[in-house]
Amino acid sequence: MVEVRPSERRGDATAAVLLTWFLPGAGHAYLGRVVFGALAFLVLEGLFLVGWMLTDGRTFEYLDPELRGPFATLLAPEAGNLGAMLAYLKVSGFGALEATPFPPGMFLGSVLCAVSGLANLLLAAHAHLAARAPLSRTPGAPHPALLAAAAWLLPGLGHWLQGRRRRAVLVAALLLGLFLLGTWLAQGSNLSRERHFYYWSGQVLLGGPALALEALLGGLRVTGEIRWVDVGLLYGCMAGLLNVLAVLDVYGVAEQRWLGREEGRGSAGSGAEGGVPA
Amino acid sequence: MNLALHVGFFLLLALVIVVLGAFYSEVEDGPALRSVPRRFVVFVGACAAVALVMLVLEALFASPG
Repeated sequence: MVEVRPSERRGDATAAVLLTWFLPGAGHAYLGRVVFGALAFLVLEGLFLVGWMLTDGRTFEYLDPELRGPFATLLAPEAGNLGAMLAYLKVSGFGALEATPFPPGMFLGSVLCAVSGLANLLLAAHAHLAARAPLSRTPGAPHPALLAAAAWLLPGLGHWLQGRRRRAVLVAALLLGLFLLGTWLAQGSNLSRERHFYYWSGQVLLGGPALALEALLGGLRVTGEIRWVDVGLLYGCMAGLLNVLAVLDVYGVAEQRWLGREEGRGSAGSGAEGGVPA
Repeated sequence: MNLALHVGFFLLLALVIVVLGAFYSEVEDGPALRSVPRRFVVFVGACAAVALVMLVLEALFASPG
């Protein structure tokens, strides 16, 4: 993370992130970017609302009854849009009390709510950088949050757009290969949020490929014992979780470039010593 | 055969974890890829140590009889 002198900052970055987490756009409004904040609010809460309507408020009915509790949904991607998720739980809870067929828009609605949560995390990163960016800064390089979104959407795409082509190919090959191998081992049974609520939460972090394959093959019926289902589920979930590392790698380099500092961040795990100005 | 397959599955996943970890830690591709063998040995060694401790604890405290 690149540090900027306090006198050059627009506001407190932590406050901006927390505000965004609870209410999309609130962090930007706090930083004085009211129009951007209002637009972000409309888009992200709109996505969540459409998802809510399509699912009939039954997304968390996917959770087994014994898993339902106050903290059970915090590992779901919807938790990235915390205010909306809490409202959802308050109003709809864990869905219908009686076993009834899910509505036809269940998959799409569930994905829209999840995407709203993930997109809000990117918006929070945007707000964090907006708070720390020098007031005199003029935009040049692509915004890090945008490149992070690309890296989520398609593993390797963020690196590719940064011009780091070899790394892009390696990341894409490793993560997509792991995911496809996992899907083959699980015979497609990993492509279902209803069957594997928490594994799915990790797998969805792989972005477009996971969602596209689920849209195509998610309805496959399981007709017998799947020998390597555990390995397949683990591979699919790990591919998504490891994509978070790839997204952070993209974001770290993009942040350096966006703030106009090319010193290199050294060990990403220990912060961004290279970017701290003298 | 089953054990060998499980070890194979583990080593494959370990390799992906290690490469992505190396990419996260090193901005440049060269140093990142050169560090993979060392990181892989450390990762697998540490996992083997954890597995060994679990097996010992199981033998001592969880075995029937």
